[in-house]
Amino acid sequence: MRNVKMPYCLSLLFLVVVFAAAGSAPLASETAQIGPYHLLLNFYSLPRVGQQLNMTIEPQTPGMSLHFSQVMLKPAPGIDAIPTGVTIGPDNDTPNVYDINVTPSVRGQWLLHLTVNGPAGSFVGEIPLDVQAPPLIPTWLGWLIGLFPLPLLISFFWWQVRWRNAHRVRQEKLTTLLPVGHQTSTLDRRGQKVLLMKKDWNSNGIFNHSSNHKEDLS
Amino acid sequence: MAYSITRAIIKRTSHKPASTRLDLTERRIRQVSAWIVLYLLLQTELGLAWDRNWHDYIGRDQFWIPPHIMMYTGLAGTGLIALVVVLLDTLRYYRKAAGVDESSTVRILGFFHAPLGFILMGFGTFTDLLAAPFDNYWHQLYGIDVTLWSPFHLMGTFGAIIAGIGMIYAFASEAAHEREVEHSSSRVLGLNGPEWGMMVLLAAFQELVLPALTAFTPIVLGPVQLLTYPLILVIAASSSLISVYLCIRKPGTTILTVCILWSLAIATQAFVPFAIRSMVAMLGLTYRFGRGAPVFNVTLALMPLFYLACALIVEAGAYWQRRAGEKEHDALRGTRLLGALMAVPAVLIPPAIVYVFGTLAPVIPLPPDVLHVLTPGWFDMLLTLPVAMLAGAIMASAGTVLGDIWQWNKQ
Repeated sequence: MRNVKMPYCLSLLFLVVVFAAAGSAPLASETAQIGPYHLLLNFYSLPRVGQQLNMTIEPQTPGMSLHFSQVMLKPAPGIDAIPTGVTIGPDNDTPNVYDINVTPSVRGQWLLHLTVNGPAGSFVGEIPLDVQAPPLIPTWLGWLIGLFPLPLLISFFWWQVRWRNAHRVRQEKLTTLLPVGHQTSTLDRRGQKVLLMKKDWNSNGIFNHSSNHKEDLS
Repeated sequence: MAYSITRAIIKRTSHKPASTRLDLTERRIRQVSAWIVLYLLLQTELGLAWDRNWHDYIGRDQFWIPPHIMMYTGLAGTGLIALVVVLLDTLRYYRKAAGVDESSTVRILGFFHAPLGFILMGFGTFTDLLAAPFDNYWHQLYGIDVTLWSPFHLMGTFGAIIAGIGMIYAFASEAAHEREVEHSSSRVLGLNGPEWGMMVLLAAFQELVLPALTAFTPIVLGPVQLLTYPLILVIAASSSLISVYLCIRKPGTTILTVCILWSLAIATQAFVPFAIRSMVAMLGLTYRFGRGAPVFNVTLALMPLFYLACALIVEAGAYWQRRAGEKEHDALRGTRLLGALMAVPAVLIPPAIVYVFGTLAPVIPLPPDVLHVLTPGWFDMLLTLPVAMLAGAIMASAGTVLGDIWQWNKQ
């Protein structure tokens, strides 16, 4: 029993270590320069539209302490979007590293605008970020999906026009096929089909309940 | 004339006080649901007007912005209520409950039996909720300022139209049921509750056009421009005002509808700048393009003047018909002509309002989009007039058909 459990436990431990290591390693890294400062950017999620981007920024020079402020994600020229607020704060585990969280709203080129304060002074700069789109659907397919209610709406309207015309003809037949003075209508009343005649109604169109000119058609 | 006699006959068949009707439960279920949905659709409409201005003044940085929340909760609530009514009426149909039978429901998907209006509402809101993630996706791909003419904006618009039509069917069928009762539920100005509901809805439908009016930019045809704002105005006015008259068939209903519309327009124009200013302050946002805070849009608040002119055209037509000896409840004749006539105020009144403010009260600020769209040249207006007349005549025919259907339909 003991021999059986041991391989399972070791496998489980291995998987935990592998996943923990994978989770802590960045998916991508890149370098940038703002003023005299060389920076290292680690991406823990890739820049994708509509998804939160988790990244860190730190000085490439070991031991250098930098302070980042006025950070904002701005759309590059030609991108139809508005600047997006960025959350930035010192990393809890590693000194001189800052965590950055931001959600780009539109695909394309964006600029991470920031001010860096360090021993050489304060410098403002922008780091380009290429935000990836979700898989593209062809424009024609977008229009096809977008316009699918239109034929249904037209069909419904057509069906209603036919219903209205048929209803109108039915009513006209009821009143014109019978002799004058016997214009009638039928209606269901408590499960009975009742024939109502025009002479049951006075000149104001009020139903005369005392008359017995109704015929039960059922 | 023939079918109006029949209508008058059928009108007074059920000689029973409203409170003792066998189908009272069904009437209550449908009417209470319809009124709740009316509130939710008005909330959605207000959210839409807010959203349109949010795009202009702040920009669309994410899906969960306050106007979207306002809009989509209204839509989701509408869909939920439509679903509940469909399921409840299906159950009541199979239990043979009073007022739920073939004559008062339609069958759908071979099993469900429900009022046509609630089925349409459910389908319309489903379409809208389906369009929402697609629209978000389209914005992510092509930017935040894609216009009304994007596939999923149109899909949302069609969904809203379907839901709105469903709502009108729901109220109209209840109004038809109410007309059958000798001592129906309480009336205000001679109109029963569902008839008021219909008027509010058709007023809201016409008001929906106003915040989006400046999205209808002119189409450039070489040296001249075809104006598109009169087309949408005349389409909304001729279809709605003629159908509301034909459905209720009482003098003054179109003017009452415009009065409701006007109060909705003023409320919308008062709410939107206030809501944007409040949210900008609360969420620490900034205005786009260095714009200042939005102000009360006097042009759009006065735009119901156009609808009032159209209502007077309809009422004049009906009055002339009554003077010629026709009965009050007879069908309105010459509706295509009335629709075509509405094109004249549609072309003239919006620029006239802007012109009057520009000359007499230049201190009142007019938004740039209003100045861009609603200050056309005379030649452009003349070119657009026949097109608008044609659109008005066609939509008046549609309004006639719908008005008749809503007057008769009890499903």
